[in-house]
Amino acid sequence: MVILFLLKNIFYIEFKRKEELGLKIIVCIKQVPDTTSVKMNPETNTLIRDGVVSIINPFDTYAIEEGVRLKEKYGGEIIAISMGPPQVEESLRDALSLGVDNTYLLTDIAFAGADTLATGYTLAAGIKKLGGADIIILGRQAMDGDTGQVGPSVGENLGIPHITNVRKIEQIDEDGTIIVERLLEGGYLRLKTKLPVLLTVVKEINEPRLPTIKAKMLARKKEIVSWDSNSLDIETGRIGLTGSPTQVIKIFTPPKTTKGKIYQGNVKTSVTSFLKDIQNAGIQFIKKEDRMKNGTN
Amino acid sequence: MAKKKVGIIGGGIVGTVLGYNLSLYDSVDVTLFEKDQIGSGTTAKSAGTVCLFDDSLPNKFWNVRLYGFQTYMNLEKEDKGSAGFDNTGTLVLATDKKVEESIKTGIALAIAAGYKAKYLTDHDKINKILPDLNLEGILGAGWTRDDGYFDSTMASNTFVKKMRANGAKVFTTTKVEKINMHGNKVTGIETNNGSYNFDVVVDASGPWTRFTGRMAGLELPIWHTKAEAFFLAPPKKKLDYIFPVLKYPRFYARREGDNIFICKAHLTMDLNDPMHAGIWDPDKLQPTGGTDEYFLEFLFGELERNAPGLLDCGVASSWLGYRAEPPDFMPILGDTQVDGYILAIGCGGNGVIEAPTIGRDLAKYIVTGEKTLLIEHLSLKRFEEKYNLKAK
Repeated sequence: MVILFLLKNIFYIEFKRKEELGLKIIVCIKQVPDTTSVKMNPETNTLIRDGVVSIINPFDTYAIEEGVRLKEKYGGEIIAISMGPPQVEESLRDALSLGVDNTYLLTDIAFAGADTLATGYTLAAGIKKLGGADIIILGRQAMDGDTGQVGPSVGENLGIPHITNVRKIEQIDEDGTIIVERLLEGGYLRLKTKLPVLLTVVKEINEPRLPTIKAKMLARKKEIVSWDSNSLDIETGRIGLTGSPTQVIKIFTPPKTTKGKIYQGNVKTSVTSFLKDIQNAGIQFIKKEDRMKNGTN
Repeated sequence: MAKKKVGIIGGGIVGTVLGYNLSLYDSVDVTLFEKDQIGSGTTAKSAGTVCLFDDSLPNKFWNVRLYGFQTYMNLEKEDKGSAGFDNTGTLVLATDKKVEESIKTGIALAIAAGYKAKYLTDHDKINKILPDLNLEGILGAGWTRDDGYFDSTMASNTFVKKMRANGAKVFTTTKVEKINMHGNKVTGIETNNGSYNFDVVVDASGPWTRFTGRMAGLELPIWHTKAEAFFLAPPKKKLDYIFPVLKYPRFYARREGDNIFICKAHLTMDLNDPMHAGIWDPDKLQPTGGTDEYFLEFLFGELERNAPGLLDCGVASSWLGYRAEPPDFMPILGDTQVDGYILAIGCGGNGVIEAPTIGRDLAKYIVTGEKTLLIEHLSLKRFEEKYNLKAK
């Protein structure tokens, strides 16, 4: 009886803790072409999109997974939002099958041609319409653009703190503080801030789960809400091509400027020839004793 | 005496087995053309299940099944791994009396050929082999530990290695662009890498058959049916038992590394249903993706009913392939209305099983003019009345 009483209370406390924290999490995702199936037209230097499979930007799958894990740990709701043409619904449905509760698509011809600035502004407008969030998560960058600018841009437009390249969410406290680890070259920063916060995450943060068949079937039945430009409180001059100071003029594969050289034959003469070549290329040799003298090794 | 020059279009399992068999004859000079890589098209997307008994190829073609199985096993004996054999065994579920009868006949034939097989009616014993199954309404299951599945791309490459060793020529990344004719007789082909003269040209181009045939003035009665496969990752990432080749009348599954490969059975496809069948462009198929929502629904229904334990598996990936199916789901072999244009087409969902017999019998016919019963039985003539076989 005593054990049963204790167990019931432990579960109650755990349940209550989740309910109390009840995070609202928004994940911003982007649909990108699957690079394994993308080919370039060598004449026009443009992507051949015919028959190309579209996927969720792989970095965003870590954002979704982290959002789902936070919901599982602290309770609450997870929403996915994206901007793009109607076919992005497919990726939002994939997000639903990964554990997202609700999805919103910002879709309008007026949004077309947006650069990172206009995209950040538009996504922030969508998030504002949703009443904001406790935590907004994005992948560190999109696989196709590779800029890493949209996350911070959304954060700036919302006027909330943003931390990029997060590798771990250490804890979230009841007083609304969050502690995260931010990946640096050769180390990490441990940062503490107040919610709401925007995070961009790196792939070290988790291992995204796969959707189950059951989850895929349930996702098919869920509604995906679409909002056009009239649904949002926005300045029309700040969206789409009009609101984009940068434009992609050309995509091309850079020509190879160097070629390798194979040294063949006798080892001694090959090595001597190699050393001569790199010396001619401007690389200086330092004798071992000189290195020792200078304290380098 | 001049050697008979034979050109084969298609480096899938059918083309390569035929090429190998032809290379065994001194009187033939054989050349194979593959537009991509050996075993890379529909062969690469085959499940490779060559089971001793199941209902995908009727028991009346038992010799075809047995010879297919033994041919790949012989490759394995010569050089382990050369046919990519995975000895998982096969479990075939009897969902009704008719299926049960077919399984029992298959078991008798397998035992007569020296293999071990049995029919199980004890559900506990079936679940011991494959714990995730719901056996409600199941009459029993045929079980053998002696077979499994093969890697048909690997087997195709092994046959190419063997035919090259016999002096045959094999060209990859070489697309046949034109079939040269003199009157009603094939004289050779033109490719992106040059022209070749032949006495006989064999079409073994699988799902590309419609397009290949048109180059010879033929409209061959082949339709594409969708082969949609899903790769399921078990919740614990690894199965703690050997997942056998699993066959139900409506779907089949087998292991693929730590995952489970699952696909709709080819005989359930309806050639009149545009969701199932049509004439499409196989060049537009992607390595992954492209599956239909209807298939996911089908799969969900089948697993919910038969293997609910697998519903919690993650969907690791999926792909769409095209099978080349004639209206009766049996291959079309041998002569056409065009002299010297021979068919080895329409193997659909049974190409890996049928290829060894087709290769052996067709090679013999090309060299000696003698037809086996299989070649007689599966000729193009059976479609002459119903279909206009001339290309527009």
